[in-house]
Amino acid sequence: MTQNEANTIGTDLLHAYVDNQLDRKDRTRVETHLRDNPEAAADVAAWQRQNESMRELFADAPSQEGIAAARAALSAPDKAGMVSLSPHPAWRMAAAVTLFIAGAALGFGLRPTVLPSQEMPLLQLAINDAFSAHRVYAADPHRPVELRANEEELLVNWLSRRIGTPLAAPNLSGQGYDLVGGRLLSGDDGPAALFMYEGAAGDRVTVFVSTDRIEEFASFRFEARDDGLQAAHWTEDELQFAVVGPVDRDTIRAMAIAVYEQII
Amino acid sequence: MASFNANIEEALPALWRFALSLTGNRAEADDLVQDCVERALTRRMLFIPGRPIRPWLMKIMVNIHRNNRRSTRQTVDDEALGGLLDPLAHARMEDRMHLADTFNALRTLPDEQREALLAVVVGGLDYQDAARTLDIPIGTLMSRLHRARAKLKEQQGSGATIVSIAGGSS
Repeated sequence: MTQNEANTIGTDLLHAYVDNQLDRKDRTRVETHLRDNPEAAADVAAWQRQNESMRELFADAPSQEGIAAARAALSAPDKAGMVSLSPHPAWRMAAAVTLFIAGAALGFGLRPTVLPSQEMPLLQLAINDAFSAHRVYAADPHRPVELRANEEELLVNWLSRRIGTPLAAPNLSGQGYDLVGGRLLSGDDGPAALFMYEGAAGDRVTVFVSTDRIEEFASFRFEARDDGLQAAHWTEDELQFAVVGPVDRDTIRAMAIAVYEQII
Repeated sequence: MASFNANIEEALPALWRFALSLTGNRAEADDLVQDCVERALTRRMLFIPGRPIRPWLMKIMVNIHRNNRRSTRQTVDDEALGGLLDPLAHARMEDRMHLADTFNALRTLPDEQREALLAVVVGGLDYQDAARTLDIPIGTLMSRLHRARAKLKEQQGSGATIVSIAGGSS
């Protein structure tokens, strides 16, 4: 190896060597480099010792109880999109709501068999808000958004400030939809952001992000309306997300996944 | 459907170890795994079948952990250390000292550096997945790893952390 090649061994490559993330060729390159660079070799040796200690520290046999409890949650009958029992208070409430997938038979995704006093109406309200916002603004020929996509940075900063948490405009170009822009809306008791997207055929999809409080148990659900709109809704910590558009369920799901992966 | 659950079940031991490394405490690791599995079940439709499930689960876990941390700012206490080290009672004294030293050194790292290190070393994720799990660019992951390791090296060289075991300081 020439001196020049050796110099291309950067710190990142040394870490990757320690973490066993190199192919054979790069591993050999690093090893050659280490032979001539005692300082780098000392770093690498120290990092390797750290890794060993950390692995040993946490190599402990998993807690039988913990694993058993998680297994029980996993094998509870039919919990597709449903929540299961848990010792935590929030989840105890959740357990009071037994959701089941009614699927096509009922015309929409999930339906509560038990309506707890307040939570389900809140969730329903939130989904209705997302549908309404879509209907009003996606169809608006003049001013569907307050800020256009070419001002994305401004848009995102502004919405983040109003919502009170850092937001980014989800990118749905992988699904064939480009950002048109966004606007600020008001939810039931807090601000909401609406991002709008347009497909090649001019059809529009919206992503509704709201700060209205819903308990965590609002698990992922689909909803369809008679006018052909489909929605996917879920909560992520303090925020609720809904993706709404005149598309089929698979498409709405793919878009929801794209938003989910970018946002959390 | 069945394979989604089966894949989670298969990932449980690895998930639990990662939870232990994040919380430093067995009881809290149990809770974190449980919360993670429950949330994962409600997020089933947000998982792309065929993708590796471990990074997806670890991302959920990291988010829950970050939220827990925000709501109850935990301090390192002797109890946490005891909860972790009890099962190491069989280890030789020097080893236990050394592991306690490592544990305490880890605790002194800023949260984001510790998470980066643990996702890679204990979580066993490649850099791409680790960056995605922590929701940071890969360059940020690398610089956090670097700073974490530099700091650990400095501390372990000094032996200063031994004192903090006795003192139980944060």
